[in-house]
Order: sequence, then C-alpha cells, then structure tokens
Amino acid sequence: MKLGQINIRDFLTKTGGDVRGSLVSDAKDRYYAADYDWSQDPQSSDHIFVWRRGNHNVNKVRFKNPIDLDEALVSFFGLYSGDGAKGGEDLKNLGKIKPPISFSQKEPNLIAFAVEQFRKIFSGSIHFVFFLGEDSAFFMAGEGAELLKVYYKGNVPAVPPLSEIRTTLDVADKRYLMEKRPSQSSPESDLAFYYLHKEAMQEILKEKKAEQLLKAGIKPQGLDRVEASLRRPFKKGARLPGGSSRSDETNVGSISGFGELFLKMMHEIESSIYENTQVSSQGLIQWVGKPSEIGAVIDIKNFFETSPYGRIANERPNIRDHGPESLMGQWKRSNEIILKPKVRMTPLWCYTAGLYLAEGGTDKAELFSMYKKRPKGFALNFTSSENMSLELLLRALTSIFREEDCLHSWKIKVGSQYFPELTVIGLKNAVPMLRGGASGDGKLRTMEISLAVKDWALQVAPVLEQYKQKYTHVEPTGAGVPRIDFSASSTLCRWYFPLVVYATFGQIFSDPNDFV
Amino acid sequence: MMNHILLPQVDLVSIKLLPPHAAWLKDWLTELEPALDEGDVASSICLQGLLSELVLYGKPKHNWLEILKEHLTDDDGNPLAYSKAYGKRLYLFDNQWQQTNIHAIHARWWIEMFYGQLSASETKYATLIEDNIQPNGWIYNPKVSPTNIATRMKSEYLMSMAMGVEILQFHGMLSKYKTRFEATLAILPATPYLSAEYFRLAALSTIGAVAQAPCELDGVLTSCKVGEGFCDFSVGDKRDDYMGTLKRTARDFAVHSPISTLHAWKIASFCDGEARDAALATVKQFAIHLKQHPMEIPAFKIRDLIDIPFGTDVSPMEILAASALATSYDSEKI
Repeated sequence: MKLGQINIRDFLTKTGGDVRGSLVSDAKDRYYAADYDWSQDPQSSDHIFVWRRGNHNVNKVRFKNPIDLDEALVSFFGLYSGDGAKGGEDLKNLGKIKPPISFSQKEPNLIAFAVEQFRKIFSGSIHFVFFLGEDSAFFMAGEGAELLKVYYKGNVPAVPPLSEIRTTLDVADKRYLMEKRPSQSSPESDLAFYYLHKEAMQEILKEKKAEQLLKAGIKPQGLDRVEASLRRPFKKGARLPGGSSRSDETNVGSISGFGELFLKMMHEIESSIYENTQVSSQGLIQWVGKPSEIGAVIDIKNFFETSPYGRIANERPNIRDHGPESLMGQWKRSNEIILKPKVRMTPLWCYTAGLYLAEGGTDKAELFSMYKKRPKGFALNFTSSENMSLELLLRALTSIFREEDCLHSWKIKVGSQYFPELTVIGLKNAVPMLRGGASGDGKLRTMEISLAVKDWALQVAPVLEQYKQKYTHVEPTGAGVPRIDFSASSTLCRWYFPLVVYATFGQIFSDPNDFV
Repeated sequence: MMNHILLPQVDLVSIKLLPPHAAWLKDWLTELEPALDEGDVASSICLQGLLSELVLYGKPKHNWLEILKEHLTDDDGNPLAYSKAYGKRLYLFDNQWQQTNIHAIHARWWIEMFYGQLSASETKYATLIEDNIQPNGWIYNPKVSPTNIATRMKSEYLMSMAMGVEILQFHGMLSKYKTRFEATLAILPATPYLSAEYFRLAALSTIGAVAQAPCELDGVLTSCKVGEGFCDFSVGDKRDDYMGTLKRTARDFAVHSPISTLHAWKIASFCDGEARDAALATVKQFAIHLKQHPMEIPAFKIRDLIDIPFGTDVSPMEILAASALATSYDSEKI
C-alpha cells in the first residue's frame, strides 16, 4: 500500500541541491552536508539523474522520482536507522560526518530484504560488497579450529616463530605486541598464527558468508562480491581462543557520495512520523495523509485467526471480546493480555517495525523461525540512547497494548569505558561500585550509583517520565555509551512480533514459511 | 582530631565550612527528614548525615546509631547497606536490598565507635570482616557481589581492604593476616586510579607495609590532574582490559573533584621530588579555587549531551572535602 513518497526532485529544487542535516549518534552531535545537481532522465519522465556537485569523476545515480513509500520501504528506513552506518567523523571538519551507505546485520532474511529495498531506492546500477569480519582468535580453538582443519585436509601446519613468518613488522604489528591482554600468553605466537593462517581464514569466512547469502536467495552478481575481514587475535573482541566477535556488513557500492542524501531521506521520514506531519520539514517526504491516519487497518482477531503471519509454530491464539474497545487474547502456555481490536499499519508502525528488527533485544533468527518451530526464550526489549527512538517504539506498542503493559521495567546500560565515572559517582556518595554477577555485568549492587544516574536518563529520554517508577538499575556492559534499555512482558512478544514481521515482509512473502 | 578513611588528610573537628557549603549541607539535611521519618535510608546516608552534623554543629543532631539499629540491621544483628524502604527506590530491587557489604560494616563500626558504644574487645564487626576474607586475600562479601576479581572495580576492593584492615587492627586481629594482605596488595600492579592507589596506601599504612606500594605513584598524580584539581582517572588512559587497547575518548572529559584531590594529596605525601611538589601545588591551587568558587563541583557529562549531568555533582562528601581543602589552605597545612 502506498503510504507516501520521496520527492527528490522537488526537494533538490527547493534547497538548490544543498543537503544539510544533523544527528545525535552515540551521544555525539554531528552534522552532514553535501551539494548535489540533478537533471531529468531524457529517456523517462519518471526518473532523474543526481550527482555530487563539483565532482569531476561524475557518478550520476539514477533515481525514480518520486519514490513510492510502502510499508516495506518505510520499515527499511527504520531498519537502517538502527543497523545502518551513520558515518565516521571527517578529521578535517570535526563534527562533520562522511556517511557511507552500509548496513550491519547478519540475519540472512534481513540482508535479503535490505538488498531489495536498496535496489528500490537506487534504481540504477548499484552493487553490494558483503563483508564478514571475525577475530582470528576464533580459529584457535573449537569450531574455528575445526574449520581450519578441514581447510588443510587434516594437516594444519605448526605455527613457526614470528620472525620466520613475518620478517618485517609493520606499525600495527608493533602496536599489537605492545598491548597487554590478560587472556593472552604469547602475543608473538598469536601474531605468527595470524600471518600463517591469514589466507586460509579469509577463504573460510568468505565461503561461509557466500553459503549464507545463497540460502537467503542472494547470489552475488556483476560487481557484487563477498569479502572477509580478519583482525589480529583478541583484537576485535574475542576474549578466549575460539571466541567469536563476528560482524556482518553489507556495503552499497557505486553510489559514493550519496550517503548524505540517503540520511536526509531517513531523517525526514523519522521526523515527520515523530511530529505527525503530512509533509516533512523540507518537503522531501510527503505522506498521503496525516501519518497517524494512514495505512491499512488490521483487524487483530481476524489477523491472528486467519493470516499466515498470525500463526506461530502452527498454533493460533484464543481471542475473545473484552468490553467494547478491547479484546482478551491468550496463546497456549502464555498469559492473557488485553489488546486493542484494530491496529493501523501507519508509517510509525512500519518504521518502528524496522527499528525493532534492527535494535530489538530479541534473537532475530527466532523472529523468522517462529513460524515453523516453537520459539524459545522470547523477550521484548529495546535499547537506545535517544529519546526519539524510544518514544516512537513506545507509541507503536501503545497502539495495540494498554500503556501499562508496554513497559515492564527499564534500566541504564553503561559500557566499560564509563566505569571510572560510575566509580567517582560512588565515591561522591560514600560507596564503592559493587558489581553483580560472576563476570560483573549483572545488576549493579550499589543502589546509590543507580539512583544517581536515573535523572540523567529521564532528561535524555523524557518519554520515560511516565514510567519513572519502573526504573530498576544500572547494568555494566562491555562497551557503549550510557543508554536506556526497556523491556516488556514476554506475553507481548507473540502478539507484537507477528505484526512487526508482517509490516515488513507482508507485501513481499505471502507465506512466512518462505523465510530461510 | 577525628578522621574518616573516606576523607583523607581531613580532621573533621577542625573543618571550617565555607558559607555556601554550610547552607548546602543544612538544606540537604532538611530535605532528608521525610525519608528518615519513613525509614527510607542507607548506611551511606547515615554516615554522611553524621559527618555533616559534626562539622556543622560540632555534634550530631540526629541519633544516627538508633536509625542504623532500627532500619539498617538484619535479623542476625548484621549491618545492612540499605533499609527495606530504601530498597524500594529501585523497582524490582526487593530481594537485593539486604546487603551486608564491607562499606556498610565499616560505616556501622565507625558510627558505633563515634557514639562510644564499641570497645576493642567487642569484636563482632572484626569477626564479620574475617568471615569475608577470601582465599585470594581480598575482603569482600561474595553473597552481595560474586564478581570475580578480574572484573571487580579496583577502587572497590582496595577500599574494602582498607576498611577491613582498619577494623581488624583496632580490635587487635590484624596480625595473623598481615603477611597475606601484604602479598595481596603487593602483587596488584599500579593502577591509573587515584582512589585505588589511595586506598592501597591506606591499607598498607595500617598494616605497616608501605614499602609494598608500587613505585610508580608519580604517574597517577601527573595523569589525573584535571581542571583546577584532580579527577580519579585520566580520560586518555582509559584502556580496555581485554583487548589491551585505548578506549575512544575524543568526546569524553574528566571533571575535578575535591574528594579525588584529597586522595591525590595523600598519595603525594608518599612521594617526593617534582611529582609531589607539582601535586601539592595543584592541591593548593584547587583550595584557592574552591574558596572563590565554592560550588564549582561539577558532574560528569556524556560526550555532547553537555546540558545533562551524568550522576552526582555536589554531595555531602564533596562539600566536606571542599571545605576541608579550603580550611587546610587557610591554616597553611597545604
């Protein structure tokens, strides 16, 4: 269903091609700016060519104009908002970012979905580079070591002294050898392992990635390619031999210099949904009506009783009327919950569906396998350092559930980089920072510290003011800026997730059993 | 002369509060009243309340010991860090508020000592400390925090060690652990944290083994100089313990703290030469700064969220430390 459109030509005309925007990412205020020119495609009145102004190696990208926004594309922008690259900082212009168009996701159905949506936006010749990154410590034991064994047909060569395999050390090698890691006994030997097996490890990873893509129906073609990126042992995040720190990236090629325009589309979509305005502030996005009033209306009872998307592991829930404006629903082995009888697939619903698929705490594989087999350990939680994302998701949840059911509790996750700050906050309150759990990433035991940073979270995310009594604690984590994580009862999962998947894939797959 | 381990270099009896500090402490105590009435209290609050009243009025106005006995004692008579009502300040913390941790034991011990209700022969708190000495030589209660030593905060276990040995020593129970504690403290490499190094020195001083301190203390004094005074850590030295790499800190910044400055002052007293002189000059400069800007005790900020304080700025402990620095400057002790 058409929800709106992206008016690239009108927008570029109005702004003179000067695309400007800002974002807060990881608590950093940053901006982007790029200037573009455009011309009409002489072959088609529905298409335009756009290129970076002043770029002599002119890379003209062909866009359909306008681009129709349907549920899937809106969801895709939500997905990109969570998993997409926002860009690294331009070292010559602090605060300014240079955004590539790249997407971090390893779930094959979501990669296939993103590839299709990218092609919808950049109708010209784009190509994809699929990256699989891994810490080479993965190959030192366990599954990785077995893969190496298979690669070498059972004869894995012994690791020689570093001086033999790497006669000249580069700067990164020297830095690596200087660094101290508690889990590492011999950096020299580990570095030798890395150079001895580098090619083998890369080949293994590339093959692994290509297999997964193929399963999802993605066969690299033309300029598309699969790449592997390996880091020196324990450098990427593996803490023990055999440990994994996998990362999956999908880079979009042939559109260099278009990250700014792409981010602008995403931000205008997001802000017009947030402000509930039919036309975004600079006119790039135009919805077919007020965002909260458009989109297909889903009859909840009918959806869960008849839609292939409303079935989980071949089971359907019981739903009965519960007063004039609500339903009472219950899945087997789950609690009853009060539902609104209808939900509209508004741009907000679709955008947050994508956002949840990217940033939600649920195991992504479970969201796609739930149609075939009973899901295990379903949980609904969401983490963000920005109010807008939190508020949009809570708004989506309240469109189907009662407000009091949407949030069970919330906490503040703080990465290890900020533990020294937490320690000082403790000292100011005459207490130490006592961690919980064997590895220290459980509930912080020192209440004074948890209470001291609560107001910070409420100011960063005022939407939580209504839930301020549900604040539980600070949770120390491995990495990341302080951020807010909320969870809802797992009872909501069986209702929310099918609708999320339907909003994103409902127009693409008639039967969710087609997921890989 | 009256000292508390959390405020080194400070004689609580002789602190002259700067007027804004006195006003702040009075307000803090007034705002505390409703919570105290409802038993909504933590041992850290009782300690700060007692210290504040001591410095404000020369004697306590509340009976903090009774508050501790009523709300911060478990069924077996052990000290608790939090009252049941305080535990409700955090949602779903219901089962976790009953914590007998080392700082709660120390707060109770110190307050009972203050009220003259504890003699050296009454060893119940020293026995509790003994019960919490771990095979690795550190002192902590694994029932409260089971975190392995590799991921515990250094400042935390060194603070607990310093508090533990202080209690054991008072009750004449330290000697049999002396060598064990020396070895434990000696084997820990120098840390980049002022508080950790201060608490290590405090513990080693109590044990009588300062020679076991790391020889690189100058570095922490140099790197932790921040703003007008000191911060507990240096942003540039933040390092990932697992990957061995420096953290990305380009947008982060430390803030000066009177408490950290007291820690630096104490550490400097164990150093000599340029590092000591430079540290003392900074302590003096910060004392002067606090006399001119008594409330300039900032909170941390997270990257570009500069209008939003991350955690506590001014607290009773910071106020006491700040006025103590100003008093020390006036009396030419710095």
